[in-house]
Amino acid sequence: MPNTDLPPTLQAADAVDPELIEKSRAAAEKLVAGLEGGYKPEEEPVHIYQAGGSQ
Amino acid sequence: MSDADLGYLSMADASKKLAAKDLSPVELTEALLRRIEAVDPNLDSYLLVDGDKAIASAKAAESAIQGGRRTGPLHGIPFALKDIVDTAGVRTTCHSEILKEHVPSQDATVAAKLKAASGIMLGKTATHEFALGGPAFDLPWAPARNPWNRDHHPGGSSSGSGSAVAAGLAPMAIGTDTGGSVRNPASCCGIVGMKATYGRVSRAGVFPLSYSLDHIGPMTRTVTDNAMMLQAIAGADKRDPASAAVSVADYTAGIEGGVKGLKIGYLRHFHEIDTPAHPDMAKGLDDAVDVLRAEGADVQDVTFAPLSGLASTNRVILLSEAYAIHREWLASRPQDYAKATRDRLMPGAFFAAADYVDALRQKRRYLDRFNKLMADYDVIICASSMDPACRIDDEAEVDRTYGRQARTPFNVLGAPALVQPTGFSKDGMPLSMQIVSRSFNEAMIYRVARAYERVTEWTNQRPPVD
Repeated sequence: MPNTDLPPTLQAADAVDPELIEKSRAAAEKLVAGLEGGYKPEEEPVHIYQAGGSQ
Repeated sequence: MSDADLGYLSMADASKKLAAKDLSPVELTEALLRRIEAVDPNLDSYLLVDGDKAIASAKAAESAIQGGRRTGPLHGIPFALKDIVDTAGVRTTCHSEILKEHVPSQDATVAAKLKAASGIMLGKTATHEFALGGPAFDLPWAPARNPWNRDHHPGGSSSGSGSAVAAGLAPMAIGTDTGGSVRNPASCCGIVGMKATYGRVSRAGVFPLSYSLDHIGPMTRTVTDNAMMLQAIAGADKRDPASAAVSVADYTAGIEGGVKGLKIGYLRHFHEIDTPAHPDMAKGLDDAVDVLRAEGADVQDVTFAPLSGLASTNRVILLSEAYAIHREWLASRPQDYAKATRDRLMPGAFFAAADYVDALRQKRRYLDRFNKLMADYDVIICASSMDPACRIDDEAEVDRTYGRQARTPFNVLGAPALVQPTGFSKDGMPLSMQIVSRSFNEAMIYRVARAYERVTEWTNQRPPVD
């Protein structure tokens, strides 16, 4: 049975692999926790306008 | 020359022989096609070989040389393309059931440039599915194998390109690199792989993994060959809005300049503290730095940010963008992806938009710090992989070693980074180092890499495939 609590875009993947959603959610949380953090509004606009560029 | 000798002939030497009419493009191409037929069933490095087209191109190249119309140094030299690079009229599958029958109508810019240089396209090489999910055994084609030991992983995602070049089945191949996918197979297979500066090589016509981090790169057996290949594919392109309007340097002009007096930073903490490397890999790095020091470089230890934060920044950006690209297929036909691909793509569904923007902010912070560091050094040397290639069928070990690498930082930074071999582990698998510089300073990286290559013997080793 599809998990109807999930958005439609995830229901099909959930049906293929029931562990996938929870594993992925945990992996995403771990990656976000790995960012340094402390992104202060006063650092803008320098960072945000340049964020997409690499050079 | 035997087929094997022609297979391992450097591009630079082949180019001289072709120009002097001591070797014909047809002779070289036929030798490589015979080698592919004999050797590749054990390696699965190619998904598609189009021998008839290759021979026809080689005949045209030969005719042009005979008629005094040689295009340049790549004229008549065969190449292979990772199968996420579009080729007009030739199947381009991304190694996936989803695009199994896909035949593009237009060449990717890199394919067009190599053809315009009169290179001979041999075929399309295996990849991790959509440059992300692999090695996988639940796809329409088997994963590529490592020529140094076919039971081992060739690295990825440009796995077939790495395997084919190392095994003498192509002198040059295109790879793509979003979190290290040119440099990982270069490390695993003992060849040279360059991820040039972000925007240096057009991505037009190459299936994206992550718009902000995708790079295209040359994979070859020697440093000079790599510089020759980058020369042919570098440059601005209206079809790729991220391509840079920066003039292309001459990558071979100063390549023999040596390292005497150059300032080299040695970034040890990546492999000594952040992610402690296998002892053979660590020794290979120390030995390589000693070689450069003996050649006259001024080598000093340097520090940068911890690897874990750099890796997280890469992954949040990469997976956010990759999920956005794949979400429709993930919803409509998830069973058509390999399990490894689903596992790697799906975390992208769980980032908030603000997480993605934070990762872009973090990228900027790192870039500011890196530019300050690079003001004092010509190049930085650090690890690429922390481990020699593991067994391809050991899923746990593949998972364990997947993140044990120092390549993602340079996708985040957009900085050029080259991997080259530094020897072999006690088990006979290639070791490697990574050489990095500031944006658009690829020529300096080639100069340092060539100085190391010139006084070491690793490039001349052949894997046991014949």
